[in-house]
Amino acid sequence: MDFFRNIYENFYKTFIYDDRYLYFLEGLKYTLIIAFFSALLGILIGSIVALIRDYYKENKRIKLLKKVADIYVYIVRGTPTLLQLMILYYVVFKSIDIPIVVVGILTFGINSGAYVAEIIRAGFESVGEGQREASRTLGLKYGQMMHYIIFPQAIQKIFPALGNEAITLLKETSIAGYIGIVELIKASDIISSRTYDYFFPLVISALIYLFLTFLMTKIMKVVERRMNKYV
Amino acid sequence: MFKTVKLNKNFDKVKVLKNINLEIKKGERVVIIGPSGSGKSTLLRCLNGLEKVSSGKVFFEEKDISKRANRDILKKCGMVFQSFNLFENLTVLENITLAPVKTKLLTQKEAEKKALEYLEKIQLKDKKNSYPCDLSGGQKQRVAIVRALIMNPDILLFDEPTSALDAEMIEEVLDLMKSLADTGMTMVVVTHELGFAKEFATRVIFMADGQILEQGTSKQIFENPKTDRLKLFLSKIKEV
Repeated sequence: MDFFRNIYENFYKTFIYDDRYLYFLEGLKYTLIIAFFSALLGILIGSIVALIRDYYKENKRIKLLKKVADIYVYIVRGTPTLLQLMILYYVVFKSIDIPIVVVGILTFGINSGAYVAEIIRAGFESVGEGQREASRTLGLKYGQMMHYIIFPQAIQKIFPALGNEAITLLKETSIAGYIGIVELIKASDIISSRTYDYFFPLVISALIYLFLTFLMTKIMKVVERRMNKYV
Repeated sequence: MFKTVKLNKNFDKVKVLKNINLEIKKGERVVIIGPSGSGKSTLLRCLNGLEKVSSGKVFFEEKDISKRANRDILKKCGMVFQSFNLFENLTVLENITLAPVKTKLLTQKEAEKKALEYLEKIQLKDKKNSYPCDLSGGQKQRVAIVRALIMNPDILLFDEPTSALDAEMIEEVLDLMKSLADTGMTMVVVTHELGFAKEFATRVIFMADGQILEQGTSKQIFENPKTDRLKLFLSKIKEV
């Protein structure tokens, strides 16, 4: 009986006492906000970067933009996310007064954009060169070709990989605590520091993450099934 | 229509085309033959800008297109590929109507009407809503030819249009090409079907090692080959 009472007490301490569950809610809120908006930003940046590179490949123009895009991807993929977060917080936005959540969103968005760019590029490349040649000889413009031919075919490769990236991103937001954002991990950390118990807060965080990724996987499966029209 | 002047094409250090001077006139049916790797397809792809030339010039209807392939010009030059290259995400009908509508050549209605007429002619009307993956190779290639035709091109280029087909489907594609010939369409065909070349071509070009070694009427080429290289090529084919 002692064992169960112990569990209950710990649970009470972690969750109920002093309305500590509110920390988790708060943490969850910020985790979701950062993950959601940085995913949007990442897709936006990634799409632009992928299109710049693809446009260059096809038309051999806008070389400078393409170089910038390459350097961006190279740097982001070549340095740790935590380092990028700290640079943005301690250096770039040091003297600018913006909410730390925004710094978080920018960091993870810029970070994710590089990976999304690679995902989209792989998707474009999965569509055979013949489709492009046929478009060209039929007089379609670059934009028309991308819109009507390449993108509808590439999306089937892009989407599953994007879902993966979204899950990675969600989990990666856990380092936002480093710059003082109270996301899930930070929230559980705060509670631990009050209760001197690490087990419950961490397990609960883990369960919340698992539930979120489970949900995302489910949604992706549904969308993917609907997309499999032609292949 | 097409004219090349001292056309050279290198892939890295390999010279694929050497000093090609070629002129193609309206109404001609030029068939290019030659051993694999002789540069036949590359030459065809240089004509419409799918490959950039390394040096020399390509003219299409008097305009120099060797530097920049102009879309409006190339619209008038249709191409049929060895691997068909139908748009896999579109139905047969959409494959045919997309380009004329988007390039503002025809309205959606006109394009559909015309596409259905063509499909009727090639007996594929009942496949209009099928996707390319549900067609046989021969059917795909015939749709691809129609897709090029609807753009109302001045010239059609065929890059080994039957090489990816089973024997029994080759016929249906060649028949369609022959019926095009009857309409007076200018065509340039790269092929290994020598029998077809013989009766179809108004001019046969024999290429080897990136050069045009011999050209003339099919009679000249097939019955009176002059160069040893062509004789060797023909004798090898006959043995098979």
